[in-house]
Amino acid sequence: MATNTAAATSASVRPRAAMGPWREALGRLLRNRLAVIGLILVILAFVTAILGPILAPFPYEAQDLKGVLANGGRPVPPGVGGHLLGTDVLGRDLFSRLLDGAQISMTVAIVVQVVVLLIGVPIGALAGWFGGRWDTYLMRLTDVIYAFPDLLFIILLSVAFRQTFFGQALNGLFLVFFAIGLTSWVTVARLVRGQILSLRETEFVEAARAIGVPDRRIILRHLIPNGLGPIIVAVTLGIPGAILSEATLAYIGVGVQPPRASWGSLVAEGQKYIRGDSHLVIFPAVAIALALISFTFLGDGLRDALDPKLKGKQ
Amino acid sequence: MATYLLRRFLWIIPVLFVVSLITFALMHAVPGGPWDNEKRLPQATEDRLNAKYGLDKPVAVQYVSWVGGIVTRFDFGPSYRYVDRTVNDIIGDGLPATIQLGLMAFAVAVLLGIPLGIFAALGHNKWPDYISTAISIVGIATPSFVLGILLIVIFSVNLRWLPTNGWDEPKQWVLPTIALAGFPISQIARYTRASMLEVTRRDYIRTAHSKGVTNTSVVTRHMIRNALIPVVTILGPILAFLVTGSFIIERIFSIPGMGRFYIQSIAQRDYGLLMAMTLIYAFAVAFLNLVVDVLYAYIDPRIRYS
Amino acid sequence: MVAETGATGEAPSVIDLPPGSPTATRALAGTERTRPDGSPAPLLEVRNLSTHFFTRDGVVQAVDDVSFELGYGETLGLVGESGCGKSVTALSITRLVPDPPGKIVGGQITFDGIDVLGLSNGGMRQLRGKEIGFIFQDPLTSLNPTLTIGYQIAESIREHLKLSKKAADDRVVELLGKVGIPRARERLNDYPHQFSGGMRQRVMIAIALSCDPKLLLADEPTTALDVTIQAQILELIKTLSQEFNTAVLLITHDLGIAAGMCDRINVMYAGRIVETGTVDELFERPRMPYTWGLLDSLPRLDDRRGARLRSIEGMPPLLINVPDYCRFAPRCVYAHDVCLEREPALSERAVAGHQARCWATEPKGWIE
Repeated sequence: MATNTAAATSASVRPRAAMGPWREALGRLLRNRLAVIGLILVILAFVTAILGPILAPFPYEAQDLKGVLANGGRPVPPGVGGHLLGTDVLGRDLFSRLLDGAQISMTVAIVVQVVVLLIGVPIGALAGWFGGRWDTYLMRLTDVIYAFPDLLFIILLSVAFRQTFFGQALNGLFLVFFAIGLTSWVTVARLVRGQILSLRETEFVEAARAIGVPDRRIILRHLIPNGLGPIIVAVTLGIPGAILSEATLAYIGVGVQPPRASWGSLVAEGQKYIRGDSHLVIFPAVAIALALISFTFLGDGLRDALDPKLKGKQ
Repeated sequence: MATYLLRRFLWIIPVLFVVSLITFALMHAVPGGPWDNEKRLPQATEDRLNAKYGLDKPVAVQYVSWVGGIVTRFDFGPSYRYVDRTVNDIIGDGLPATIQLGLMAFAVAVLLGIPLGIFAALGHNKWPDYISTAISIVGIATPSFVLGILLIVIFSVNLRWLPTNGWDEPKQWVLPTIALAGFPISQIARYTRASMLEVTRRDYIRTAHSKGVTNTSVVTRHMIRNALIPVVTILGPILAFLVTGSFIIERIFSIPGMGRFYIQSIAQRDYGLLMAMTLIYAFAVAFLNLVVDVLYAYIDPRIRYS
Repeated sequence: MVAETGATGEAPSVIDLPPGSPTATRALAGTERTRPDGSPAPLLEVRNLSTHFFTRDGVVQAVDDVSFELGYGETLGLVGESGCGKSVTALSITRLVPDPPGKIVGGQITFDGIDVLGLSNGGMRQLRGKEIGFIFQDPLTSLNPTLTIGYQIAESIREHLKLSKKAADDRVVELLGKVGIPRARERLNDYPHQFSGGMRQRVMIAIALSCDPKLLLADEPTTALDVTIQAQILELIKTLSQEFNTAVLLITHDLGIAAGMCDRINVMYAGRIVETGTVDELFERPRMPYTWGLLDSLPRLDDRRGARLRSIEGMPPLLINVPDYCRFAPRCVYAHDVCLEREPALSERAVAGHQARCWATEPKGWIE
């Protein structure tokens, strides 16, 4: 009788079942207010980027010269003549151009990180897994790339190839992806290498090797999923850098070419009119700021949520 | 320890070689030459110019002779654009201002960023934290060129407190330095704050309290030093940012540093100037990273004595 | 920040020992107080102490209505498995419970006549390190890696005893010698990572004893060390506490260690004390099934080879929503219905001072 009651009451004071680590991490992420704000803004950014052409009241290169002339040859202020945020001096609707810029920035965000992953993950995995000479060569290579001040390299590439077919593709957007991606993969490569190095020696990997699982399978099915957390964080936190680089390139006139409306080039165009028509600088600047903040908050939130040291704590 | 640092320092040399190779290759891989931006020159003139500057020789030979000049005489060659000046002249004019801007921005970033982060952590979830976080957000969200423009508009155009260009008087240094330091301040503040909060949870802090040490001493003698160790690791990328970001700022504020020549030299294919500046920037980044590593070893006894 | 639990009140006058005085005289000096009825008062009196942790998932009642006494110079063991609240009890005594999320919610702690929970933060700080020393479990993480061990030991000496740097260093060298670290003078400027685990724990002991405290709280001081080193460290603690007549509250999950070190033992389970008595009483005539389980689970030399180790089935209850019946009952093979209805109180057994919390072993219970 004692044991029956013992069993029954044992059940009533059992702890609730622990959730899987990904679910727990998601919970932590969603409880972080800043991260949630970031997440919402990021989603918003992508939605506007995708729906951009549909949402835009005017084509981004269309010029409302009548409106400008009506305003004495100056840019139309916000709210006038159907232009929600006004126009620039050529009569191009600022809101539509911002949407185009959103498309550019979000595309840069995604594509650059894809490039980074495509280059960085294999290199890091090779260096970490095989070690030895491979590791040394690859790490020396990353040292060289790392030493090259990235913005300079990007500008160098951009200007050097500007006149080529490659550089002209997509108004120079393709070149921008390539240049930024080429300089940014180092962090991810080092991260992947570090993860593989530390996971390689764990017991479950030893066990897998002992039963003859091929190396490639070990890397793909075991090491990468386990080491995924920091990589996700690094990729997310790398996005603001890419957006910033693209905006800076556009600002100095080297990146995406007109008539496409990168936020950076909008700032460059707008700064001439900053005295009277500050909307031309403010709105693109705000757009850039929101994009940078959103990915940074999200990245920070992901980092805190996926931090293994925080497991089981508040 | 010393041998490790020496080895690191010597590695910079091959790295610079590769950097110069890549830059050289890029410049010559693409069609066009330094005379293209002028009005179209007669072929004969062009040939003569090429011969004069040795541009008619094979690329490999050009590279070797150029590198030779640097290594033996520290001579970066003539400028193709400015006929009467050598690259050394041009860089010599510009380098001091660039270095000064970079150092000042770095000093401001560290001297403001670290205390900001510390106070945010100490006043966790209270007003010091909110203010510091707000400043950090502004720093992250605002690219340096936007910050520069905004500062000009507010302080120069509207308030007329500070000038927008030139570099001779201290008050001309204020706006560019702040514009350049904006992002580093916020990064340093954020990292310091996070690190301090992390250190708070460590066991040795509990030990310190158990000894009856005053709260002030716990913070100053136990927490800060340990919290700064991870912060030092981001100083490398911060310095790299300052190096590359400086020339944008130089353009906006018309500062007579090296930066304003950079883009021009690419566009105009002024190889000599371009190569020299790229190498100098690369060297600066590599060297500064080394300095940061030394600092890191100095601050963390575990590395110093192992 | 580790805020100090508790709040207002005036700083008391603490008996100041002149620096460097021979402390063996304390036992004779009459600093031990007496109760109103003339009987000797304990150094530490804990009454109905409750410490709770307020978490997202609920309130964890880590320490629930715990009471015990510790006399001057006495060694008391606080024994129990992980999570039973023994460490939190020790932290509560020095008000080092991390707040948030922890908080001392009730009870009274009297140390050397002083109401600890009523002290100001400044007053508490004066007690810590000077009158109460703390040895933590993990010497690897409990020492600051960026400060020399000389500095860390001298820190409380200089803070509390106001010695000059030279005088403090001399005392540090003396302490290091006492805890068995050779070539002490040369090692003053070494850093913790340059010492082995056992040496680091010796440093921690030196820190804890540096100002000659009346009470030493030792929280699992040997759990993180090799077995061979464990014996040395325990021996050291025993010798030093006897030499200076320091009372010791030894927290451990290892009954064997408690047996060798302590005069009396409190057994804790799920935030409560379930049995208390002298070492002899507890080991010869334990009166609580949990204690039997603990004793039984110790492997013996005369066990049959290949026989299974004996463990107590089940797990301790969650300390959120603690039941109002006996907390050990679900795991207890001797439990009857009453055990799942009401919680037994801590009551006397055959010998005075030996108390247990169990319906079954009470005079009218069903176990002899």
